[in-house]
Order: sequence, then C-alpha cells, then structure tokens
Amino acid sequence: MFTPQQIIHQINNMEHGAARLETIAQAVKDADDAAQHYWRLYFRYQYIKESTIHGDNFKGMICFPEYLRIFDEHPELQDDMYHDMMWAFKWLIGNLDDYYQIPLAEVNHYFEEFKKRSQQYGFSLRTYYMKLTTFWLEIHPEEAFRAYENFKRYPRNRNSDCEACELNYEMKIALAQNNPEQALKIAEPILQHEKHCAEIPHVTYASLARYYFLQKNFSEAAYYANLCNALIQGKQEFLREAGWLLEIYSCIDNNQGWRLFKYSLENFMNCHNPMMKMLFSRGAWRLLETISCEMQFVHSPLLGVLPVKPSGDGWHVRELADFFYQTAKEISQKLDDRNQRNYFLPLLEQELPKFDEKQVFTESMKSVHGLVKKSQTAIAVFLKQKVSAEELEQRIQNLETLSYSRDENACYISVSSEEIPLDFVISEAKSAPPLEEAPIQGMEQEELLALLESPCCYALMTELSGTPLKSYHAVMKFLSSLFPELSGIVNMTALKAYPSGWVNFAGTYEDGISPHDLYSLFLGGSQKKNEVWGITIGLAACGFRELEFVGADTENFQAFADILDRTAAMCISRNHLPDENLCITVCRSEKTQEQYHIFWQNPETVFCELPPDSAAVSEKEDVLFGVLNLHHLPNLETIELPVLHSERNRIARLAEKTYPLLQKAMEHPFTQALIRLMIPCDEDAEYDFDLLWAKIQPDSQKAVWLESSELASAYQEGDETEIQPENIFDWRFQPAESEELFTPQEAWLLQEELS
Amino acid sequence: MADFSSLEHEFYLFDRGEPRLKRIREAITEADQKQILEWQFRFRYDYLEESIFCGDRYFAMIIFPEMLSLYEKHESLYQDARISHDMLICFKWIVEAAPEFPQISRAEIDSYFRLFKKMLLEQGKSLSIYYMKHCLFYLNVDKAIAAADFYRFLEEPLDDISDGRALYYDQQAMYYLTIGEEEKALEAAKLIFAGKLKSNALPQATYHDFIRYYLEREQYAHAVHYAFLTERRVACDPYYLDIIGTLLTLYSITKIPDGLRLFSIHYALYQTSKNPLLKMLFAIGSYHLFRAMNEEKHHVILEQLRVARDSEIFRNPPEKIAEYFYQAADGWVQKFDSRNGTDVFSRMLHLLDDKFH
Repeated sequence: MFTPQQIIHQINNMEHGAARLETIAQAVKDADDAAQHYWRLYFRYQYIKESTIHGDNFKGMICFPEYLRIFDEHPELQDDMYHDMMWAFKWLIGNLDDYYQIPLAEVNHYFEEFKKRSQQYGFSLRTYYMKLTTFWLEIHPEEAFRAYENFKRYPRNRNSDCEACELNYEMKIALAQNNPEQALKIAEPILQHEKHCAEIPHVTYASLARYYFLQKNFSEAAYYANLCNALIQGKQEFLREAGWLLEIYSCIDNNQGWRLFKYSLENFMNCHNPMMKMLFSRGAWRLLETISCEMQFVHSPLLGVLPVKPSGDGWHVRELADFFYQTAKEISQKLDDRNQRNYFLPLLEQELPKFDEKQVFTESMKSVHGLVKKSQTAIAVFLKQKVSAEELEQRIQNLETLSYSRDENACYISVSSEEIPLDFVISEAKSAPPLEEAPIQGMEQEELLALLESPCCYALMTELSGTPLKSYHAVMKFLSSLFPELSGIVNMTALKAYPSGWVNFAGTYEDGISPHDLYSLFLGGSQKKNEVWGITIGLAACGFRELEFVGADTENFQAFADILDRTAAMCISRNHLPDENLCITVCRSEKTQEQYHIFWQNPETVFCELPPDSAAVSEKEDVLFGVLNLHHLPNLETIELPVLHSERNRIARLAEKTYPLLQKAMEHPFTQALIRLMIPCDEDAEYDFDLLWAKIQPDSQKAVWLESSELASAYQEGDETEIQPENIFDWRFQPAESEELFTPQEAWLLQEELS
Repeated sequence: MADFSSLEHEFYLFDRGEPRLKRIREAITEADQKQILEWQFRFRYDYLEESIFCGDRYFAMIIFPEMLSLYEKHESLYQDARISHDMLICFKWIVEAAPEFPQISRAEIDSYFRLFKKMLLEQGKSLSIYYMKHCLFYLNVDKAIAAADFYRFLEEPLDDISDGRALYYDQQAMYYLTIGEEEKALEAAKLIFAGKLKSNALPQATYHDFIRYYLEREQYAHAVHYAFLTERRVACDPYYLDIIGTLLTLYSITKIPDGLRLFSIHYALYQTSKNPLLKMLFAIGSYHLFRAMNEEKHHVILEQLRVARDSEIFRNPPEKIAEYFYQAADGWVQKFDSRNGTDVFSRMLHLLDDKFH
C-alpha cells in the first residue's frame, strides 16, 4: 500500500546523499504504481532536487523530461505545482553545460522552452538570462556578457536564485572581465558572511582562488583555496571546485592537495556528471604529476575505489596520473565537440604558473588576511606502560578508521570522528621530549616532571579541521579510546599539559574544551626601556595569525594581556580572525560607555615602532603575526573587556550535560551544592529570561532560591523550586571537609574524586 | 483624507471586539459613500484585523471577499506595494481562519490557498507562510500532504509575511507532536518554554499542543503540568475557547471541581462566540466534563455553576447536561469531519469513551 506520509517522514529523517536519493526513487515508483499523480510529481521534484543540490545532478537531469511530461499531462495539478516545476526547470538549464550528451540544438530548445514558460507563469526573464550567461561564460564570453546586460534589466522573482547566488554570479562576471576590484566589491556581503546559502561562500572562494591562481597571485589563491577546502570536503556536489583546488594545490601545497584528493575519490567514482569528472580529473592529474617528481608509489586504502590497481609497493603515481589525464582528455574533447569550441582541451595542456614558496610566504606576510594556512598540532602522549606494536595495530583496527597504514617510522591513520575527518601520524618517541625547562602551562611543575618520567611516549601529529574546538574534542576522543593507559599529554604546539582525566573528559564532552586549551600567552619585555609585549602561541594551529600586543609597560601590561587573551579566545570560538584593520571585537569604557574597536595590523605596516625583540619582528620565519592595536584605548584600568557570549553558552551547555556528575557527587556528603537556573521573566519585563542561583537541598530534587528576581515576580528568595536539567546554566559543588569548589569546567576533577 | 486618518486613530479609543468593530463598520460605510478607494480598502483591513484578533473570526470571513474584490478590481490598489503587502497579510489570516468554518467548503479553502500562493509568488515572497498554514489545515484533512508541506515549510526562508520565529518553532513542535516525535517537539519548543521566544499566542498555544499530546496518551501528570502553566494565560479570552475545551477534558479526568470552575467562567463566552471550531472544541470539553461528573455521581451542580444558574439546561442532572453538549458538539463534528473527509474531530469527541461505562 502506498503511504506517502510515512515515506515523507522516512526521507526527511535521512541524511542527504545516495541512500536518500534511492529512497525517493522508490517513492517515485510506488506513486507511479498507485497512479497518484500529485505524488508522482511531488516525489519526482524531490528526486530532482536531491540529485541537484546534494549530488552530481545526473539523475535529476535524466528525470526531468518525464517530470515535465507528467506535469503537462495533468493541468488540474498545475496551479499547485508550477512553482516546483519552474525550479526544477531552472536547475536543468543551469546544468546543461555539464553534459556533452545533450546536443547544442537541444540546449537551445530547453532555453527557449524555459523562456516561454517563465513568461507564461509570470516570472521575469532574469533567471533565464542568468542561466544563459552561465552557459556561455567560459566558452563564449561575448555571448555571456550580452546575456548579462539583459539579466540586469529584469527584477528578481520567486524563480530567481537566492541573493547570495546572484551576487556570486555577478562577481564571476567581473572576474571574467578581469576586474578583481569590482568582483571583491560585489562579493563583499558574501565575504563578510552577510549573505550565504548552501553553496555560497564555497563556490565564491573557489572562483576567487582560481582567478588569483591564474593571475599568479599565489598568496591570495592559497587563502581562498584554504577557505573553500574547509567547506567542501566530502561533498559530492562540490567536486568541480575540488578539481580547481587540486590544480592550485598541485602548485602550492601538495600535502593539502593529497588530502583533498584521497577524501574525494569515492565521490569522484560515484559521479556521473561529465564536467565535474573532467575538472576533478584535470586537477588530480596535475597534482599527481607534481607528486610523481618526489615519489614513485603512494599508499592509502582510500585509493582502492579506483580502477587502477596497486602493485606490491602501492599505487604507481605515474599510472594514477595517466588514468586521470586520459579521463580529463576524453571528456574535454567531447565537451569541446558539443560546444563547437576548442576550449577545454587547450586548457588541459596549458602550463600552470610556476610557484616559489619563499615568494608566497613573503607575499603572505604583507597580506591583509587574518586566516592563514594551518600549522600542524604536535602532541606528546605519555602512557603508564608500553604498548607493543602489534597491540597498537590491533587497537587501531578496532577503531573505525577511514584508512590506516604504517612504515618503520610511524602509523598513518585517517578517521572521521563526529563528521570531522582527521589524519594522524603517530610514532613512538625514543625518549620523552626535553620539556623540563619549557614554559608548559596547565600543570604544576611536579606533576609535569612526573608525567615526563612515564615509561612510554608517543608523538602525534595532526591538523585540526573544521572548527578548532570541535576538532580538538575529536582528537581527545581519539586519544582516550586508543590509549586507555594514558597518563597525560603535552600539546607541544600550544605548550599546554593535561592529565589523562582531562583528556577523557574532553573526549566525552564536546563543550569540555575551552578556547584557552588551544593556545598560551607569553610575555616578553625589556627592563631598560620598561617595555612589555605579549604573544599567543597556538593560534596558527587553528588557522589564524598569532597575535601580539606591544607598547605596554610594567604597570599596565596585565590589561593588555587580558584583552589579548579575550581576543584570541573569541577568534577560536568563532573560528575566524577578520582581515587587517577590520574590527575583531570591541572594548567599552566603564565611565563613558564609548566603544573602542580592537583590530590587528601587519607588522610591516603597523601603527607604531615595534620593539626589536618583539615576536613579530624577530621570531620564526614561518609564523605570521598580527599586531593588536591597543594604543587608542583610554585608561586601561577602567576598560570593560570584550564579552565572550559563546563561552557563557558553552559553560551553560557543559553545566547541563555534567549535571548527572553533580547528582552523583551529591550522593556523598557535601558542604554546599549550588545551581544557577534560567527562569522566564514576566511578560512586561525588559528581558526574556533571568538567571538565579539556588541551593540544592540534600536528599531532594528541589532547590531553594538564594536570591529574588527583579524580572520575574514569581521567583523569590527562600522559595523552593524543582530542578529541570534543561534550565541549568551553571553549578558549583563543594564536597564535605574540602576547601575546593568545583565548577562544570572542573567536572573532570570531581569525576576523578568520585572514582 | 486627513479626516479619515484621524478617524482611523479614533478606533483605538473604543474597546476591542464588538464596540470597535461597530465603529470601523461605520467608517467603511462612510468611505464607500465617498468612494475613496484607499480608505475603502484600509478600513476593511482594520475591520478584518480586529475581528481576527478580537476573538471572533466570523466577521473577518464576511469582510474578506469584499476586500479581495476591491483589490482585484482596482489597479491602483494592487500596484501599491504597501497595499499589496497588507493584502497578503489578510490572506495569511484568512487561510488560517477559513478552516474554522465548516460552511466553507474544502474546494473553497483550496482555492483561497491557491490564490494566496500565487500572490506570494507574484510579490516575490517566501512560501514559508503558505506551507505553514496549508500544513495546519491539512493536518485534519490529509496527513501526507501536511507532511509534505511541513518539510517544505522548514526549507523556505522566513520573511516579512511570515509569522516570526516564535510561531515558526511552535508550528514545528505542534507538527512533531502530531506524528508522535515528542523529543523533537521538546527540542523545537525549547526557546519558547525558556521564555526566549514569545508572541501574543505563545507560549500558551505551545503548552496546549503538549497538553493534547499527553492527554491522548493518558500521561495526565505531564498534561496537568502544562495545564497549570496555561490556564492563567488563556482564562476569559474568547480567542482561547479551544484551549479551555481541552482543559475541561483534562480536568474531567484529573480534577472535576477545577473543570467546573473553568466551565462556569467561560460558558458565557461560549454562548456568544460565533466561531464554530472554538464552540465545538469547548462543547467537546464540556461533554467530557459532565459525563465524568455523571460517572462520579456529582450532583451539586447548580451551586457551583453560579454564572450559568439562569440557564434551564443546568437544572438537569449531569447526564442530561452531558447529552446536551454532546448533541451540540456532534452537530459541528459531523460538519467539520464531513467537510475535511476525515474523523479527526469525531475521535476527539469519543476520546474518553473507554473511561465511561
């Protein structure tokens, strides 16, 4: 029996992708069998949409003619369905350029039909001209620019792409006209994150990366490529952008390219869109050509999906390169034949710009971008006892790894933890790193020395991907599941040390990681000149410039350091450091409430003379710095620091999640247990909710308010309240006969105490 | 023109409901006599808005066709961006209100929806509100179409015609409850329950959805928890007779005296309401309450029903009163279910049958 309601729920509870598309295909079949025309159209539309927005659009293209036929056969449904039909039609004409199988005459026919129906249903021709421009943009720019002029004459309508997509389209026109200033101006709302959608800014970054690359501006190309790369990995619909990025990475960063390449292979093999396949193959071929200069063979189980088979030494790079070259060549030829233009084939043979690493770093030093290439995170892992190589291998195999290989030096592991792909290189250290004198934070010196004496130490290298906090949580989760005999870790990149209890806690609770766990602050100074400066260490591993303040003295450096600390934490929470001279956050004068913007400047163009010993001037060549402008702040003693709302929310989430630990702790004698609850305010109050502390009654699920709310009259000091975990905002716990007052952030210590 | 403008300001001096509606009606007549198109439209808008929010949508249903006809006939109206926007707002209210009247056929409601969708598309608006209201109606008609609407509603962006974020989440909570997804409903309602999102009808409408959900599953303790939070927010407001009806059903099981108290306060509103849906839901609750009284052998009705003492029906034993409300409710139930082609309201009427002998 055909039950559309159940099918709709089933589909909507599935992740996007192949399985969901398959389920919709079955629904189409069932609707056909039941001869229910409304649902025949409904599910076909869903099918086309899924294939187009979350796939390679191939199946959607095949389905469309039948969908249109059924639509035309049922005029009684057209009033309800014409809007869907026109969207599906728009997707079709937007992807005609991808398929050499569709002859040019048929392309023209579809465009004409779309134009006719747009007029019939009262939509302006804006979308028609937009898609016409896109079709011709690369292969016949003059034709495209003519269509673009027409596009501008028509107003937006409900068949238009979203505003972000339209801006992206106009930006591409400006790039095609070799006007990058105009392009950046058009794209500003996208680049400032004001406008976005399912594929914006991903494709915007890709277009800018490609443009700058072809203009030999490698620094800008790398910047946009990295932004794009962070968004598109693992998504089939962005295979064409992955191809462009591979071309760029083949010149500027083989490692990034290899990573993107191997994680995209499954999508490549499942892709039926010729244009996507061709562009990916072209990029892959160029990348493999570069890799072949350095090595003959490569290893990764992820390559197993390819038709090229490995030999005993692994996959021969030359063979892989040939396979992708042939694929790219074959499709390029067919596309050129269909388009009656000689365009894609010459592009394949075109020589790419030459790249000079030093030059790129010098360019990057001067660049205005706060986001930089991520550096690796190095972690020293200390174990209470040795683990044999066989045992370790067994454990790794028990984990759900994407790929695993090893050589005499190290294990190479790829995992996907909570949808974050992470690559690890783990090697056993012959001895503990010499950290006795190092400025490691997070542990007392005695504890640290004990940790360094652990009988076994591994070195782990990884690159944080996605958002730093989530990614670091995934790393901790990986470590705690791989090493049950862990005694502690030292994050050599951020210079922080943690015992095993914290690692387990941070691996269990995503919100257990604070931004401060990912960097350290260090002060430097000159007594002679009474100068103090401070730097962050660790932001580069999150993909940002390290930050520095200069110009403080021994009197006021604490305020400077506090601002630097808050600013760095904010960048990590938001996973963003804005470009030079753009406001990162604001401080406020306590007295006047005037706001002061905090921004960074390039050491090269900085507002003041830098002390010769400051990090930005003298430190390592491979680290990019930004110098915080704090000189314009008035009296620092009366300045309110930037507010970290995300931190407050993180602790609230952590408080809620760790409440069971608190309940467990309360089974033992305690001095006090306090809980901060969120309560709804009165209807006429200025705010929607208020926060109140209450004291938990021993042996009860109730608490007594410790204060009265001025915003919610029903909540008065001394009254009893029930505890609803979802309203918990914070808590404190003091065990009996103890001075210590635990917070959610320190719940791991409480956990240790309980166990 | 200036006269009409000050006349419009005067409306706010009148009490909401009938007195204000009467004054606006006079203004409409005046604008019609002087044939000033903009004010003919504007006063009708005021009238429709007042009747939608004063608690009786009956008047809105009467004025809307006049308004639509004016709008469609006069280019100067539909070319005016502000008036076109107002027309969409009225349409939004009407497609929600129309299903509350069984005399409006399903075909008529469908045609309203179609026209609403077309008008949204013409003005380049999001279809979010269309899918939301369509889903609301079809929940009682065809759950598959409601499901399709619901997911489309989630995909569409909110815009200036949409109902706002609070109702956006309320609608989600309500839908998830109808398909038995309690956890998802609680997640959707989180911001509303925390007081972070509010509207005129929220959180009470969201609480109501949960009360119904728990009532149907006989989880009365949960239902009572939400009922406690709801009662003070809906008491004495004719707009919420449906919620009062649900509370009566709940109290018929958990606390009959509370039910009687609530019934006494609201019976007068029930008598004066012209909204069939609200009346039906109140009558269903009343039927449950008196039937439960009969089962529990409650006899001291008159003393408790101070407000309704003058009504002849209350001189009868509870069994007879229950019968009276059953008849009243059943009349509407038949009409609604037959218009919708389902038995949703019939099941609601017979919800507690297995509890009564």
